[in-house]
Amino acid sequence: MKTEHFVIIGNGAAGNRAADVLRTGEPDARITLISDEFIHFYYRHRLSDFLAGDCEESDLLVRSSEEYREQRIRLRLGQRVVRVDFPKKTLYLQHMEVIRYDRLLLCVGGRPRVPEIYYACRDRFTVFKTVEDARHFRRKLAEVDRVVIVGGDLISLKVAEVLVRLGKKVSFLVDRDAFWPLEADDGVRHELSERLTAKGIEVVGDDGLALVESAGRAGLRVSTRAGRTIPCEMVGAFFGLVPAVDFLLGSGLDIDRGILVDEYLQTSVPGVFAAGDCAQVYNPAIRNYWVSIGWPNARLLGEVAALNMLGQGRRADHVPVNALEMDGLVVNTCWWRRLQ
Amino acid sequence: MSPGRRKGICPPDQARLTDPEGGIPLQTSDHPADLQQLRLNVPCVSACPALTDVPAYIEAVRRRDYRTAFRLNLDTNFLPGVLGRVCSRPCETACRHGDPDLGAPVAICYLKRLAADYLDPAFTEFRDPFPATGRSVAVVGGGPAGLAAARVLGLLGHRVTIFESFPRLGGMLMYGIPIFRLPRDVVSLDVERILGPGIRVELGVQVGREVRAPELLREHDAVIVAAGTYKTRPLGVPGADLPMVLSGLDFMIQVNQGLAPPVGRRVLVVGGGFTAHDCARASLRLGAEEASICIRTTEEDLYVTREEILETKREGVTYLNLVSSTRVVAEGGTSGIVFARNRLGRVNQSGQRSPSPIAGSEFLKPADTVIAAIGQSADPDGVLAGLEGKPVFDRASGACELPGLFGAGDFVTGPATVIDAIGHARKVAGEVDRFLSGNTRTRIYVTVTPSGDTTRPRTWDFISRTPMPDLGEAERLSAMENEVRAGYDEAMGQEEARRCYLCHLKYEIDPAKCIYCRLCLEACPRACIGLVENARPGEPGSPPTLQWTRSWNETAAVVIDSARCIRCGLCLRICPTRCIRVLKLGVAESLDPSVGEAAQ
Repeated sequence: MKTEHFVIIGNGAAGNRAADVLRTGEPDARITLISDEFIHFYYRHRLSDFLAGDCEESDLLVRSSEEYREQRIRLRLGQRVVRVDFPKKTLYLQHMEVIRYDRLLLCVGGRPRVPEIYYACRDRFTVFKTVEDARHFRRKLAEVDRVVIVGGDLISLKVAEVLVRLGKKVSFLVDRDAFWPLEADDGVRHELSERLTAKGIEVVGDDGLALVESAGRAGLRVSTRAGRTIPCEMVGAFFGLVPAVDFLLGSGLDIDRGILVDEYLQTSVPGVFAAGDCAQVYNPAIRNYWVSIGWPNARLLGEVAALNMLGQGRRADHVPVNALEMDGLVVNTCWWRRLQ
Repeated sequence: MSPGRRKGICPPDQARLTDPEGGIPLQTSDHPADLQQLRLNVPCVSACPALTDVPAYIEAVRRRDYRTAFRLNLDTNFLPGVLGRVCSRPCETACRHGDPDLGAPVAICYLKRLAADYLDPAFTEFRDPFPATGRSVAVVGGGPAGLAAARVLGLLGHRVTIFESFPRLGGMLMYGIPIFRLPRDVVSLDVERILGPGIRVELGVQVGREVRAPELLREHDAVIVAAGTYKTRPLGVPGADLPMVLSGLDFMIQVNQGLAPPVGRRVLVVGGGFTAHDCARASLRLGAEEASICIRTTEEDLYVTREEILETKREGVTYLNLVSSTRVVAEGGTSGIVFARNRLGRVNQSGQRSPSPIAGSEFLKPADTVIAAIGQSADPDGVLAGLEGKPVFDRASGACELPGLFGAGDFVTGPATVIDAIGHARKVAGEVDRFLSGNTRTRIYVTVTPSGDTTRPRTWDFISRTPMPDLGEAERLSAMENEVRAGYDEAMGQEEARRCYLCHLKYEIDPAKCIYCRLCLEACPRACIGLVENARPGEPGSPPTLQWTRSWNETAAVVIDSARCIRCGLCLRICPTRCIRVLKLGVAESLDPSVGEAAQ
């Protein structure tokens, strides 16, 4: 009998949890985990420690190659899926290799969001999501005195603090929709400003980014809507993440912001599931579609998706974290409650 | 002289006809199988409803021969300046350069604009019309469809009168599309070029009121109704008649007449078509602080181009996806729309989504102004008032039960794009001429001309798409008339034109000369040369089906798969026996004067 081939795209919390659950449930199946990063599964929330120099890259890793070998999970690192042909159950990798699957799990996560209103500045933004971004950030910091941070998400608070600690001058432009997709009210924004100021960060509030221009060799010039200009060497963009589903557009899979799934994490294509930060599901409690955020949610959804791939019919209960805590600042994430 | 013509399948190596004037071997065909060949080889041309010869004009742009490039457009789609800005670009969707591993499609549309922008202002060329037929045609509506039909029929020697209810010609180009996407002098210039001898224009005349259809049918030998779709679909939910609810098309017509309809601070636009996008972008320019486009499905299902969506978002418009409006409320301090969230639903047989509201998902989205742009339709009762019965127009030919009455463009097909309307009107005009002359004088031909190797170096295949320069966000929103896209300059245009593979070149291996040396297979960068074991006659109207093989023992011929070939010419240059030949496929509309004369 032909063994089933489970393919998981995405080597994050959801993908790894799913791979383990699949292995337990189906000891003989072929399991392949594909990641476009060259590094093993790592803790993303420690990247700011890595940036600060408090830990090295090896400290970020969650598991080693041996564990995958023991579990007989085929790990494909540094390989990017560029297209999926769902009727043919086939994946196309960037290096022209073709992979067939029987069941597919999409845990592709998010990519840094750059709001379209800042489209013209996008090439001058430095983003911070992957370990590669962190390395780049760290290398660049050597030539940088002043950093402007635009946006405002949880990771940006940590990064700003690290930068101050490293002796950089930091200006923080708090965006109107800081903490997107969560809704930060004026109270949260105010508290955020106070905390940042207390740490020696200059907060530019009630203003917005207008333009980032090149100013000579390594220099940049940030202009705000109110007409202020801030010279700097680096602009860090922290606008949250959006599901990295661009490669699936036009493939026939139902996609809105993320991959649309039902409460069983089943996508619109039979046999294809999605979990983690890329899956979008309707949540009756908030009367809205919802994309999960955070490590524990991703792990949980990965587990549920894997059980459903094994035919267990498990519903994903929404576990909306009521508050995300970061460095003592609690951001209320019950933004949906207000809709009722 | 018209070129010689041969009907039926013309394998390129047989039955070569000689053009008596140029002495150039030329072959033409209007057989469906050859049109299918055109589709396989030159996807951009067949994707264009007006069959614009795209590679030919891009090649002309590359040579800086803007006159030729412009003419190639003028002869097929009639409005190069306009379409170079607002075309929906089915050609770019089909472009081979956009295949999964080949990069991004060529910016065909922007190159069209370049040809129009850099055209010598002294260009006044007009094709000589055919001898006058003495027949007269009334065209109702001076929009893209009406203008296209008038142009074709005027050329064919008929007397044409256009009846336009607005004070200026152009229809949606003048009154629907906002000025920041399409400057009005561009529209006027293109329209002036269309109006040639034999075309009369009656402005400010509303057919159905000042003139009635039965009169037109009495006074003219044929009547084409190209009155567009100006009847708007109401929102159809409780509260839709509140004063804060505006109709999208009426809103745009007011904006385009230079009026500034008042908008509130927060604007919700319901609908996701071009009009909806224009309304949202225009309201930001009229002072709204927030504008959202509310759609029933997702952005991926929208008919507007990806670029249009990006431009809209760049200006700060947000999208509210997967919602259906259930009612509009304005009571006390709150006003806005109560929406229900939708499930996307499956794609039905006609390719449409059927989203369904989720029970218990209602929520209020606050707004000060609501603009409904959820659909438009034709108003046959108004335009055709006075006729007995309700004529039903055939979509393909435009004809109806009443002899001499035809319909063209959106009026028949429902709301579509400018290029769709022009393509449709062109076909209907051919039918009208057939009705008037009793003969088929217009025919679309595929032409096949021997050609040399491509003039492109292989390195040009790796040039990336040239971005369109545009205005910064602040400058855009400061005035309605600031055109958002600045247009390529000449250098950018040259660079972009180099990217075109020139798919109208067809590389063919002559099996009689091929020595099966495999050099071409090794040289080919895209693995588009293969081994064929047999060719079976295809279905009627389609080319033969090739049976590919991997075994040399079964190989009857080495064949270039034209549907994959990127026309790099490497095979031709490496071939030791020179058995590869290049043909150039073109598309031409033959207007045959001899038939017209015979009819008189």
